[in-house]
Amino acid sequence: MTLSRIYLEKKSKLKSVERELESVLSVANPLLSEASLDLLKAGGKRIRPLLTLLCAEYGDPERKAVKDSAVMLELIHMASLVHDDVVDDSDLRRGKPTVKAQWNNRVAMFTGDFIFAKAIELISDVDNLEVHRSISRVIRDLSLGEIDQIKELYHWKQNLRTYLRRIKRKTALLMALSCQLGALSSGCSSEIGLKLYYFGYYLGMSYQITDDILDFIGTKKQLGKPAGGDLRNGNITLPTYFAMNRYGLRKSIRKVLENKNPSHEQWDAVIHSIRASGAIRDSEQLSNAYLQKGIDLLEQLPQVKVTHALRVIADYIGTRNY
Amino acid sequence: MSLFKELDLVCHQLCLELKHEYVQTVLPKPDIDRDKMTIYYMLFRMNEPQQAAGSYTKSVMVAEIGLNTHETMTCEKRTNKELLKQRQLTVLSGDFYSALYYYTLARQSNIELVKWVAQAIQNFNEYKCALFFPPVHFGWQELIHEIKKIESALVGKIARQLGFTHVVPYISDFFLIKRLIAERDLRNEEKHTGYFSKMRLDDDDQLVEKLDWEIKSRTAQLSQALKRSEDQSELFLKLKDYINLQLPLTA
Repeated sequence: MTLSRIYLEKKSKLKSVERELESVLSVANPLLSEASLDLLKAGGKRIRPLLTLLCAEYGDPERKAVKDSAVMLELIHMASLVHDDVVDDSDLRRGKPTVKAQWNNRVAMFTGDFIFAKAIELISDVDNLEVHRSISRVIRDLSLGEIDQIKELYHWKQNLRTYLRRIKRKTALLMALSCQLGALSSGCSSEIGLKLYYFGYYLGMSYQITDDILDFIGTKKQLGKPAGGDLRNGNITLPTYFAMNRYGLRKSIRKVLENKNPSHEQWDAVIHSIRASGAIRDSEQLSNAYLQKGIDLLEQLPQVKVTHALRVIADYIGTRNY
Repeated sequence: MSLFKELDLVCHQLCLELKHEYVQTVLPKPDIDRDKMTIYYMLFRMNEPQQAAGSYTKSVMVAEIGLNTHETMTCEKRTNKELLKQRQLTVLSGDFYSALYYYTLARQSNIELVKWVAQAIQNFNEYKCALFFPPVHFGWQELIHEIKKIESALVGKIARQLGFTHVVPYISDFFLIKRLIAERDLRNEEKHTGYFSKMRLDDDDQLVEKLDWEIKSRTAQLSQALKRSEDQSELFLKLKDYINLQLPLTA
Protein backbone atom coordinates (compact mmCIF):
# COMPACT_ATOMS: atom_id res chain seq x y z
CA MET A 1 0.00 0.00 0.00
CA THR A 2 1.21 3.52 -0.81
CA LEU A 3 0.14 6.96 0.32
CA SER A 4 -1.49 7.69 -3.04
CA ARG A 5 -3.38 4.40 -2.76
CA ILE A 6 -4.68 5.49 0.68
CA TYR A 7 -5.82 8.83 -0.72
CA LEU A 8 -7.44 6.99 -3.63
CA GLU A 9 -9.34 4.63 -1.34
CA LYS A 10 -10.56 7.55 0.74
CA LYS A 11 -11.24 9.73 -2.31
CA SER A 12 -15.03 9.61 -2.14
CA LYS A 13 -15.08 10.29 1.61
CA LEU A 14 -12.58 13.12 1.29
CA LYS A 15 -14.69 14.55 -1.53
CA SER A 16 -17.72 14.36 0.71
CA VAL A 17 -15.77 16.26 3.41
CA GLU A 18 -14.79 18.82 0.77
CA ARG A 19 -18.42 19.26 -0.31
CA GLU A 20 -19.49 19.71 3.28
CA LEU A 21 -16.75 22.29 3.81
CA GLU A 22 -17.98 24.16 0.75
CA SER A 23 -21.54 23.99 1.95
CA VAL A 24 -20.86 25.31 5.47
CA LEU A 25 -18.69 28.11 4.13
CA SER A 26 -21.21 29.28 1.52
CA VAL A 27 -22.95 31.99 3.50
CA ALA A 28 -25.16 34.93 2.64
CA ASN A 29 -22.45 37.54 3.09
CA PRO A 30 -20.58 37.62 -0.25
CA LEU A 31 -17.29 38.81 1.22
CA LEU A 32 -17.11 36.17 3.96
CA SER A 33 -18.18 33.50 1.53
CA GLU A 34 -15.58 34.50 -1.06
CA ALA A 35 -12.74 34.81 1.46
CA SER A 36 -13.52 31.42 3.02
CA LEU A 37 -14.10 29.57 -0.24
CA ASP A 38 -10.94 30.97 -1.85
CA LEU A 39 -9.00 29.52 1.03
CA LEU A 40 -10.76 26.20 0.64
CA LYS A 41 -10.06 26.09 -3.10
CA ALA A 42 -6.36 26.77 -2.50
CA GLY A 43 -6.33 23.13 -1.37
CA GLY A 44 -3.88 21.39 0.93
CA LYS A 45 -2.94 17.84 1.90
CA ARG A 46 -6.04 17.44 4.12
CA ILE A 47 -3.90 15.25 6.36
CA ARG A 48 -6.10 15.88 9.42
CA PRO A 49 -9.41 14.82 7.84
CA LEU A 50 -7.62 11.85 6.30
CA LEU A 51 -6.37 10.72 9.71
CA THR A 52 -9.87 11.10 11.17
CA LEU A 53 -11.44 9.07 8.37
CA LEU A 54 -8.80 6.37 8.68
CA CYS A 55 -9.00 6.08 12.46
CA ALA A 56 -12.79 5.83 12.20
CA GLU A 57 -12.23 2.47 10.48
CA TYR A 58 -11.61 0.97 13.93
CA GLY A 59 -15.31 1.64 14.65
CA ASP A 60 -18.30 2.47 12.47
CA PRO A 61 -16.95 4.89 9.83
CA GLU A 62 -20.43 5.59 8.44
CA ARG A 63 -21.58 7.56 11.50
CA LYS A 64 -22.44 11.20 10.80
CA ALA A 65 -20.20 12.33 13.66
CA VAL A 66 -17.15 11.01 11.77
CA LYS A 67 -17.66 13.37 8.84
CA ASP A 68 -18.58 16.24 11.17
CA SER A 69 -15.33 15.70 13.08
CA ALA A 70 -13.26 15.64 9.89
CA VAL A 71 -14.93 18.84 8.64
CA MET A 72 -14.57 20.54 12.01
CA LEU A 73 -10.84 19.76 12.19
CA GLU A 74 -10.20 21.16 8.74
CA LEU A 75 -12.21 24.30 9.61
CA ILE A 76 -10.11 24.86 12.73
CA HIS A 77 -6.96 24.41 10.66
CA MET A 78 -8.26 26.86 8.03
CA ALA A 79 -9.23 29.47 10.64
CA SER A 80 -5.77 29.29 12.17
CA LEU A 81 -4.14 29.72 8.73
CA VAL A 82 -6.10 32.93 8.07
CA HIS A 83 -4.96 34.40 11.38
CA ASP A 84 -1.40 33.03 11.04
CA ASP A 85 -1.02 35.00 7.81
CA VAL A 86 -1.70 38.20 9.78
CA VAL A 87 0.75 37.12 12.50
CA ASP A 88 3.44 36.29 9.90
CA ASP A 89 2.49 39.19 7.63
CA SER A 90 2.29 36.76 4.70
CA ASP A 91 0.82 37.84 1.39
CA LEU A 92 0.89 34.45 -0.31
CA ARG A 93 -0.26 31.00 0.73
CA ARG A 94 0.04 28.05 -1.64
CA GLY A 95 0.83 30.58 -4.36
CA LYS A 96 -2.41 32.51 -3.89
CA PRO A 97 -3.02 35.87 -2.15
CA THR A 98 -3.91 35.49 1.52
CA VAL A 99 -7.15 36.93 2.90
CA LYS A 100 -5.23 39.74 4.58
CA ALA A 101 -3.43 40.57 1.31
CA GLN A 102 -6.56 40.45 -0.81
CA TRP A 103 -8.67 42.49 1.63
CA ASN A 104 -7.03 43.56 4.89
CA ASN A 105 -6.16 42.43 8.43
CA ARG A 106 -9.65 43.19 9.74
CA VAL A 107 -11.33 41.02 7.13
CA ALA A 108 -8.84 38.28 8.01
CA MET A 109 -9.95 38.58 11.64
CA PHE A 110 -13.65 38.39 10.68
CA THR A 111 -13.04 35.43 8.36
CA GLY A 112 -10.94 33.46 10.84
CA ASP A 113 -13.37 34.09 13.70
CA PHE A 114 -16.29 33.17 11.47
CA ILE A 115 -14.73 29.88 10.31
CA PHE A 116 -13.70 29.01 13.86
CA ALA A 117 -17.23 29.63 15.16
CA LYS A 118 -18.60 27.53 12.30
CA ALA A 119 -16.34 24.66 13.37
CA ILE A 120 -17.55 24.86 16.96
CA GLU A 121 -21.20 25.08 15.94
CA LEU A 122 -20.79 22.01 13.78
CA ILE A 123 -19.24 19.89 16.50
CA SER A 124 -21.68 21.11 19.16
CA ASP A 125 -24.20 18.60 17.76
CA VAL A 126 -22.01 15.74 18.95
CA ASP A 127 -23.46 14.42 22.15
CA ASN A 128 -20.27 13.32 23.87
CA LEU A 129 -18.71 15.39 26.65
CA GLU A 130 -15.40 13.55 26.41
CA VAL A 131 -15.14 14.69 22.79
CA HIS A 132 -15.90 18.33 23.70
CA ARG A 133 -13.44 18.38 26.58
CA SER A 134 -10.74 16.98 24.36
CA ILE A 135 -11.38 19.35 21.43
CA SER A 136 -11.69 22.45 23.57
CA ARG A 137 -8.47 21.67 25.46
CA VAL A 138 -6.57 21.19 22.21
CA ILE A 139 -7.93 24.42 20.73
CA ARG A 140 -7.00 26.34 23.86
CA ASP A 141 -3.50 24.83 23.87
CA LEU A 142 -3.09 25.61 20.17
CA SER A 143 -3.57 29.30 20.84
CA LEU A 144 -1.29 29.15 23.89
CA GLY A 145 1.37 27.52 21.70
CA GLU A 146 1.14 30.36 19.20
CA ILE A 147 1.52 32.92 21.98
CA ASP A 148 4.55 31.01 23.30
CA GLN A 149 6.12 31.17 19.88
CA ILE A 150 5.94 34.97 19.92
CA LYS A 151 7.18 35.08 23.50
CA GLU A 152 10.21 32.93 22.70
CA LEU A 153 11.26 34.74 19.51
CA TYR A 154 14.99 35.59 19.56
CA HIS A 155 15.35 33.93 23.00
CA TRP A 156 18.52 32.02 22.32
CA LYS A 157 18.61 30.71 25.89
CA GLN A 158 15.51 28.54 25.52
CA ASN A 159 15.91 24.85 26.24
CA LEU A 160 14.85 21.71 24.40
CA ARG A 161 11.79 21.30 26.60
CA THR A 162 10.49 24.74 25.60
CA TYR A 163 10.84 23.87 21.93
CA LEU A 164 9.13 20.51 22.33
CA ARG A 165 6.22 22.01 24.28
CA ARG A 166 5.80 24.63 21.58
CA ILE A 167 5.64 22.16 18.68
CA LYS A 168 3.39 19.90 20.70
CA ARG A 169 0.88 22.72 21.01
CA LYS A 170 1.44 24.11 17.56
CA THR A 171 1.14 20.89 15.53
CA ALA A 172 1.10 17.61 17.42
CA LEU A 173 -2.05 18.16 19.46
CA LEU A 174 -4.25 18.77 16.42
CA MET A 175 -2.92 15.61 14.76
CA ALA A 176 -3.47 13.70 18.00
CA LEU A 177 -7.02 15.04 18.14
CA SER A 178 -7.64 14.12 14.48
CA CYS A 179 -6.81 10.49 15.27
CA GLN A 180 -8.64 10.37 18.59
CA LEU A 181 -11.78 11.95 17.15
CA GLY A 182 -11.85 9.43 14.34
CA ALA A 183 -11.98 6.70 16.98
CA LEU A 184 -14.43 8.34 19.40
CA SER A 185 -16.84 9.60 16.74
CA SER A 186 -17.06 6.13 15.22
CA GLY A 187 -17.94 4.57 18.54
CA CYS A 188 -14.57 3.04 19.52
CA SER A 189 -13.61 2.59 23.15
CA SER A 190 -11.76 5.36 25.01
CA GLU A 191 -8.80 2.98 25.20
CA ILE A 192 -8.43 2.76 21.43
CA GLY A 193 -9.10 6.49 21.25
CA LEU A 194 -6.21 7.14 23.63
CA LYS A 195 -3.79 4.92 21.73
CA LEU A 196 -4.67 6.68 18.49
CA TYR A 197 -4.33 10.05 20.26
CA TYR A 198 -0.73 9.20 21.15
CA PHE A 199 -0.07 7.80 17.69
CA GLY A 200 -1.22 11.15 16.23
CA TYR A 201 0.79 13.03 18.82
CA TYR A 202 4.07 11.26 17.97
CA LEU A 203 3.32 11.63 14.28
CA GLY A 204 2.71 15.35 14.77
CA MET A 205 5.93 15.87 16.73
CA SER A 206 7.90 14.13 14.00
CA TYR A 207 6.01 16.06 11.30
CA GLN A 208 6.87 19.45 12.84
CA ILE A 209 10.52 18.56 13.44
CA THR A 210 10.75 17.50 9.78
CA ASP A 211 9.14 20.83 8.79
CA ASP A 212 11.74 22.65 10.85
CA ILE A 213 14.54 20.65 9.21
CA LEU A 214 13.16 21.28 5.73
CA ASP A 215 13.16 24.98 6.47
CA PHE A 216 16.96 24.74 6.66
CA ILE A 217 17.70 22.27 3.88
CA GLY A 218 14.94 23.02 1.37
CA THR A 219 15.62 25.05 -1.74
CA LYS A 220 14.08 28.48 -2.29
CA LYS A 221 11.88 26.89 -4.97
CA GLN A 222 10.63 24.14 -2.63
CA LEU A 223 10.05 26.50 0.28
CA GLY A 224 8.77 29.52 -1.64
CA LYS A 225 11.14 31.64 0.51
CA PRO A 226 14.86 31.65 1.34
CA ALA A 227 16.12 28.77 3.50
CA GLY A 228 16.35 29.42 7.23
CA GLY A 229 13.24 31.59 7.23
CA ASP A 230 12.32 30.51 10.75
CA LEU A 231 15.64 31.63 12.19
CA ARG A 232 15.61 34.85 10.18
CA ASN A 233 12.29 35.61 11.91
CA GLY A 234 13.80 34.84 15.31
CA ASN A 235 12.12 31.46 15.64
CA ILE A 236 14.57 29.04 17.25
CA THR A 237 13.78 25.55 16.05
CA LEU A 238 15.46 22.21 16.71
CA PRO A 239 18.38 22.45 14.24
CA THR A 240 19.34 25.84 15.70
CA TYR A 241 19.01 24.50 19.23
CA PHE A 242 21.29 21.53 18.47
CA ALA A 243 23.77 23.73 16.63
CA MET A 244 23.95 26.09 19.59
CA ASN A 245 25.11 23.21 21.74
CA ARG A 246 28.20 22.85 19.58
CA TYR A 247 31.45 24.51 20.47
CA GLY A 248 31.96 27.79 18.67
CA LEU A 249 28.57 27.98 17.04
CA ARG A 250 26.63 29.23 20.03
CA LYS A 251 28.49 32.52 20.02
CA SER A 252 28.05 33.24 16.31
CA ILE A 253 24.32 32.35 16.33
CA ARG A 254 23.76 34.43 19.42
CA LYS A 255 25.59 37.37 17.87
CA VAL A 256 23.28 37.40 14.85
CA LEU A 257 20.14 36.92 16.97
CA GLU A 258 21.12 39.81 19.20
CA ASN A 259 22.03 42.06 16.30
CA LYS A 260 19.16 44.49 15.67
CA ASN A 261 19.67 44.55 11.94
CA PRO A 262 21.81 41.67 10.65
CA SER A 263 22.72 41.63 6.95
CA HIS A 264 21.64 38.89 4.53
CA GLU A 265 25.25 37.72 4.41
CA GLN A 266 25.37 37.30 8.19
CA TRP A 267 22.18 35.25 8.14
CA ASP A 268 23.40 33.14 5.22
CA ALA A 269 26.67 32.41 7.01
CA VAL A 270 24.92 31.32 10.22
CA ILE A 271 22.42 29.16 8.33
CA HIS A 272 25.24 27.54 6.40
CA SER A 273 27.13 26.78 9.62
CA ILE A 274 24.01 25.22 11.18
CA ARG A 275 23.57 22.99 8.13
CA ALA A 276 27.20 21.92 8.25
CA SER A 277 27.25 21.33 12.00
CA GLY A 278 25.54 17.96 12.21
CA ALA A 279 22.49 19.56 13.84
CA ILE A 280 20.30 18.44 10.94
CA ARG A 281 21.33 14.83 11.52
CA ASP A 282 20.60 15.11 15.25
CA SER A 283 17.20 16.63 14.51
CA GLU A 284 16.39 13.81 12.11
CA GLN A 285 17.28 11.32 14.81
CA LEU A 286 14.83 12.90 17.23
CA SER A 287 12.16 13.05 14.55
CA ASN A 288 12.69 9.36 13.83
CA ALA A 289 12.55 8.52 17.53
CA TYR A 290 9.11 10.11 17.79
CA LEU A 291 7.99 8.32 14.67
CA GLN A 292 9.20 5.01 16.05
CA LYS A 293 7.17 5.55 19.22
CA GLY A 294 4.09 6.06 17.04
CA ILE A 295 4.87 2.95 15.00
CA ASP A 296 5.33 0.92 18.21
CA LEU A 297 1.88 2.00 19.34
CA LEU A 298 0.37 0.67 16.12
CA GLU A 299 1.43 -2.80 17.24
CA GLN A 300 -0.93 -2.52 20.20
CA LEU A 301 -3.91 -1.85 17.91
CA PRO A 302 -5.95 -4.50 16.07
CA GLN A 303 -3.89 -5.67 13.09
CA VAL A 304 -6.38 -4.71 10.41
CA LYS A 305 -6.03 -2.96 7.05
CA VAL A 306 -6.23 0.53 8.51
CA THR A 307 -3.32 -0.16 10.89
CA HIS A 308 -1.20 -0.85 7.83
CA ALA A 309 -2.43 2.39 6.23
CA LEU A 310 -1.42 4.36 9.35
CA ARG A 311 2.02 2.75 9.13
CA VAL A 312 2.31 3.95 5.53
CA ILE A 313 1.45 7.49 6.65
CA ALA A 314 4.08 7.28 9.39
CA ASP A 315 6.66 6.12 6.84
CA TYR A 316 5.72 8.99 4.52
CA ILE A 317 6.21 11.49 7.32
CA GLY A 318 9.62 10.01 8.05
CA THR A 319 10.79 10.33 4.49
CA ARG A 320 9.04 13.41 3.14
CA ASN A 321 11.29 16.02 1.64
CA TYR A 322 8.91 18.88 0.86
CA MET B 1 -25.58 38.50 48.74
CA SER B 2 -26.71 41.54 46.72
CA LEU B 3 -26.64 41.54 42.92
CA PHE B 4 -23.71 43.92 42.86
CA LYS B 5 -21.68 41.84 45.30
CA GLU B 6 -22.39 38.74 43.24
CA LEU B 7 -21.23 40.66 40.17
CA ASP B 8 -18.04 41.79 41.87
CA LEU B 9 -17.21 38.16 42.47
CA VAL B 10 -17.94 37.23 38.83
CA CYS B 11 -15.80 40.16 37.66
CA HIS B 12 -12.91 39.13 39.88
CA GLN B 13 -13.07 35.53 38.60
CA LEU B 14 -13.30 36.78 35.02
CA CYS B 15 -10.13 38.86 35.47
CA LEU B 16 -8.32 35.76 36.73
CA GLU B 17 -9.55 33.74 33.78
CA LEU B 18 -8.34 36.33 31.28
CA LYS B 19 -4.95 36.66 32.87
CA HIS B 20 -2.02 35.73 30.71
CA GLU B 21 1.20 37.05 32.18
CA TYR B 22 3.15 37.43 28.97
CA VAL B 23 0.30 38.92 26.92
CA GLN B 24 -0.23 41.54 29.61
CA THR B 25 3.36 42.69 29.35
CA VAL B 26 2.69 43.70 25.74
CA LEU B 27 -1.03 44.50 25.49
CA PRO B 28 -3.28 46.46 27.85
CA LYS B 29 -5.60 44.44 30.09
CA PRO B 30 -8.81 43.61 28.22
CA ASP B 31 -11.72 45.94 28.92
CA ILE B 32 -14.63 44.38 30.77
CA ASP B 33 -17.99 45.90 29.84
CA ARG B 34 -19.64 45.88 33.25
CA ASP B 35 -23.08 46.65 31.76
CA LYS B 36 -22.90 43.67 29.46
CA MET B 37 -21.71 41.46 32.28
CA THR B 38 -24.59 42.63 34.50
CA ILE B 39 -27.20 41.97 31.84
CA TYR B 40 -25.83 38.52 31.04
CA TYR B 41 -25.85 37.72 34.73
CA MET B 42 -29.45 38.90 35.11
CA LEU B 43 -30.48 36.73 32.15
CA PHE B 44 -28.76 33.58 33.44
CA ARG B 45 -29.77 34.21 37.05
CA MET B 46 -33.48 33.94 36.14
CA ASN B 47 -33.18 30.16 35.82
CA GLU B 48 -29.85 29.27 37.39
CA PRO B 49 -28.31 29.30 40.86
CA GLN B 50 -25.69 31.93 41.61
CA GLN B 51 -22.64 29.80 40.83
CA ALA B 52 -23.85 28.48 37.47
CA ALA B 53 -25.11 31.92 36.40
CA GLY B 54 -21.72 33.38 37.32
CA SER B 55 -19.83 30.70 35.38
CA TYR B 56 -21.97 31.09 32.25
CA THR B 57 -21.63 34.87 32.46
CA LYS B 58 -17.84 34.53 32.64
CA SER B 59 -17.76 32.26 29.59
CA VAL B 60 -19.87 34.49 27.35
CA MET B 61 -17.95 37.55 28.52
CA VAL B 62 -14.72 35.81 27.51
CA ALA B 63 -16.22 35.26 24.04
CA GLU B 64 -17.24 38.96 23.88
CA ILE B 65 -13.73 40.00 24.92
CA GLY B 66 -12.22 37.75 22.23
CA LEU B 67 -14.22 39.58 19.58
CA ASN B 68 -13.45 42.98 21.10
CA THR B 69 -9.73 42.15 21.08
CA HIS B 70 -9.84 41.46 17.35
CA GLU B 71 -11.77 44.73 16.94
CA THR B 72 -8.61 46.61 17.76
CA MET B 73 -6.77 45.09 14.79
CA THR B 74 -4.97 47.66 12.66
CA CYS B 75 -4.34 47.41 8.93
CA GLU B 76 -1.38 49.63 8.09
CA LYS B 77 2.06 48.19 7.31
CA ARG B 78 4.29 47.85 10.37
CA THR B 79 8.04 47.41 10.50
CA ASN B 80 8.75 48.36 14.11
CA LYS B 81 9.32 45.09 16.02
CA GLU B 82 7.39 46.13 19.13
CA LEU B 83 4.37 47.33 17.15
CA LEU B 84 4.52 44.14 15.13
CA LYS B 85 4.53 42.09 18.33
CA GLN B 86 1.49 44.01 19.58
CA ARG B 87 -0.37 43.16 16.41
CA GLN B 88 0.64 39.50 16.57
CA LEU B 89 -0.54 39.23 20.16
CA THR B 90 -3.78 41.03 19.34
CA VAL B 91 -4.55 38.19 16.92
CA LEU B 92 -3.38 35.43 19.22
CA SER B 93 -4.86 36.64 22.50
CA GLY B 94 -8.22 37.12 20.74
CA ASP B 95 -7.94 33.53 19.52
CA PHE B 96 -7.05 32.41 23.03
CA TYR B 97 -10.16 34.06 24.51
CA SER B 98 -12.31 32.56 21.74
CA ALA B 99 -10.95 29.13 22.61
CA LEU B 100 -11.42 29.73 26.30
CA TYR B 101 -15.21 30.13 26.18
CA TYR B 102 -15.56 26.69 24.60
CA TYR B 103 -13.06 25.20 27.05
CA THR B 104 -14.84 26.56 30.14
CA LEU B 105 -18.33 25.70 28.92
CA ALA B 106 -17.27 22.16 27.97
CA ARG B 107 -16.01 21.73 31.52
CA GLN B 108 -19.39 22.90 32.79
CA SER B 109 -21.08 20.43 30.40
CA ASN B 110 -23.09 23.22 28.76
CA ILE B 111 -22.68 22.44 25.07
CA GLU B 112 -26.01 24.04 24.22
CA LEU B 113 -24.63 27.41 25.30
CA VAL B 114 -21.48 26.73 23.25
CA LYS B 115 -23.69 26.35 20.19
CA TRP B 116 -25.58 29.60 20.83
CA VAL B 117 -22.38 31.56 21.30
CA ALA B 118 -20.82 30.03 18.17
CA GLN B 119 -23.91 30.93 16.13
CA ALA B 120 -23.93 34.46 17.51
CA ILE B 121 -20.23 34.91 16.67
CA GLN B 122 -20.94 33.93 13.08
CA ASN B 123 -23.72 36.51 12.88
CA PHE B 124 -21.49 39.12 14.48
CA ASN B 125 -18.82 38.60 11.82
CA GLU B 126 -21.34 38.62 9.00
CA TYR B 127 -22.76 41.93 10.28
CA LYS B 128 -19.26 43.35 10.58
CA CYS B 129 -18.39 42.44 7.00
CA ALA B 130 -21.67 43.94 5.83
CA LEU B 131 -20.83 47.15 7.68
CA PHE B 132 -17.27 47.52 6.45
CA PHE B 133 -17.94 46.30 2.92
CA PRO B 134 -21.57 47.17 2.23
CA PRO B 135 -22.99 45.98 -1.09
CA VAL B 136 -24.70 49.39 -1.44
CA HIS B 137 -24.01 52.74 0.20
CA PHE B 138 -25.64 52.94 3.64
CA GLY B 139 -27.76 55.92 4.63
CA TRP B 140 -27.50 57.20 8.22
CA GLN B 141 -30.39 55.18 9.63
CA GLU B 142 -29.31 52.01 7.85
CA LEU B 143 -25.85 52.43 9.33
CA ILE B 144 -27.29 52.90 12.82
CA HIS B 145 -29.40 49.79 12.30
CA GLU B 146 -26.34 47.74 11.29
CA ILE B 147 -24.38 48.96 14.32
CA LYS B 148 -27.28 48.01 16.57
CA LYS B 149 -27.23 44.45 15.19
CA ILE B 150 -23.50 44.18 15.85
CA GLU B 151 -23.62 45.57 19.38
CA SER B 152 -26.22 43.10 20.59
CA ALA B 153 -25.38 40.11 18.39
CA LEU B 154 -24.30 37.94 21.31
CA VAL B 155 -26.39 39.24 24.17
CA GLY B 156 -29.54 39.36 22.00
CA LYS B 157 -29.01 35.77 20.88
CA ILE B 158 -28.54 34.54 24.45
CA ALA B 159 -31.64 36.42 25.65
CA ARG B 160 -33.75 34.94 22.83
CA GLN B 161 -32.46 31.42 23.40
CA LEU B 162 -33.19 31.67 27.12
CA GLY B 163 -36.77 32.64 26.27
CA PHE B 164 -36.52 36.36 27.03
CA THR B 165 -37.20 37.74 23.55
CA HIS B 166 -39.43 40.45 25.04
CA VAL B 167 -36.44 42.25 26.58
CA VAL B 168 -34.20 42.14 23.47
CA PRO B 169 -35.36 45.51 21.99
CA TYR B 170 -34.50 47.35 25.21
CA ILE B 171 -31.11 45.64 25.55
CA SER B 172 -30.30 46.33 21.89
CA ASP B 173 -31.19 50.02 22.22
CA PHE B 174 -29.16 50.34 25.40
CA PHE B 175 -26.01 48.88 23.84
CA LEU B 176 -26.50 50.90 20.68
CA ILE B 177 -26.59 54.10 22.74
CA LYS B 178 -23.43 53.02 24.55
CA ARG B 179 -21.64 52.45 21.26
CA LEU B 180 -22.78 55.79 19.83
CA ILE B 181 -21.46 57.55 22.93
CA ALA B 182 -18.15 55.71 22.63
CA GLU B 183 -17.93 56.72 18.95
CA ARG B 184 -18.68 60.36 19.78
CA ASP B 185 -16.05 60.39 22.51
CA LEU B 186 -13.49 58.82 20.20
CA ARG B 187 -14.25 61.46 17.58
CA ASN B 188 -13.73 64.17 20.16
CA GLU B 189 -10.32 62.63 20.86
CA GLU B 190 -9.74 62.54 17.08
CA LYS B 191 -9.67 58.73 17.05
CA HIS B 192 -11.98 56.39 15.19
CA THR B 193 -13.01 52.76 14.95
CA GLY B 194 -13.99 52.86 11.31
CA TYR B 195 -17.72 52.46 11.98
CA PHE B 196 -18.52 55.84 10.48
CA SER B 197 -15.61 56.14 8.07
CA LYS B 198 -17.78 55.45 5.06
CA MET B 199 -20.22 58.25 5.85
CA ARG B 200 -19.94 60.99 3.30
CA LEU B 201 -20.00 63.95 5.63
CA ASP B 202 -18.42 67.32 5.02
CA ASP B 203 -16.47 67.38 8.25
CA ASP B 204 -16.03 65.64 11.60
CA ASP B 205 -18.04 68.29 13.48
CA GLN B 206 -21.06 67.31 11.44
CA LEU B 207 -20.62 63.69 12.54
CA VAL B 208 -20.31 64.62 16.20
CA GLU B 209 -23.50 66.70 15.91
CA LYS B 210 -25.34 63.85 14.23
CA LEU B 211 -24.15 61.41 16.89
CA ASP B 212 -25.20 63.82 19.63
CA TRP B 213 -28.65 64.11 18.17
CA GLU B 214 -28.97 60.34 17.72
CA ILE B 215 -27.84 59.67 21.31
CA LYS B 216 -30.31 62.17 22.77
CA SER B 217 -33.20 61.02 20.68
CA ARG B 218 -32.57 57.31 21.27
CA THR B 219 -32.06 57.81 25.00
CA ALA B 220 -35.39 59.64 25.24
CA GLN B 221 -37.11 56.94 23.17
CA LEU B 222 -35.71 54.15 25.31
CA SER B 223 -36.72 55.88 28.56
CA GLN B 224 -40.24 56.35 27.20
CA ALA B 225 -40.46 52.76 25.99
CA LEU B 226 -39.39 51.44 29.39
CA LYS B 227 -41.90 53.69 31.12
CA ARG B 228 -44.80 52.79 28.83
CA SER B 229 -44.25 49.05 28.82
CA GLU B 230 -46.85 46.97 30.61
CA ASP B 231 -44.43 44.08 31.03
CA GLN B 232 -44.45 43.11 34.70
CA SER B 233 -42.07 40.17 34.47
CA GLU B 234 -39.33 39.98 37.08
CA LEU B 235 -36.58 40.23 34.47
CA PHE B 236 -38.09 43.24 32.75
CA LEU B 237 -38.50 45.12 36.03
CA LYS B 238 -34.90 44.40 37.01
CA LEU B 239 -33.61 45.45 33.61
CA LYS B 240 -35.77 48.56 33.63
CA ASP B 241 -34.30 49.63 36.98
CA TYR B 242 -30.78 48.91 35.80
CA ILE B 243 -31.08 50.66 32.43
CA ASN B 244 -32.81 53.67 34.00
CA LEU B 245 -29.98 53.90 36.48
CA GLN B 246 -27.26 53.64 33.82
CA LEU B 247 -28.79 55.78 31.08
CA PRO B 248 -28.11 59.20 32.68
CA LEU B 249 -24.56 58.03 33.41
CA THR B 250 -23.90 56.93 29.86
CA ALA B 251 -25.72 59.78 28.05
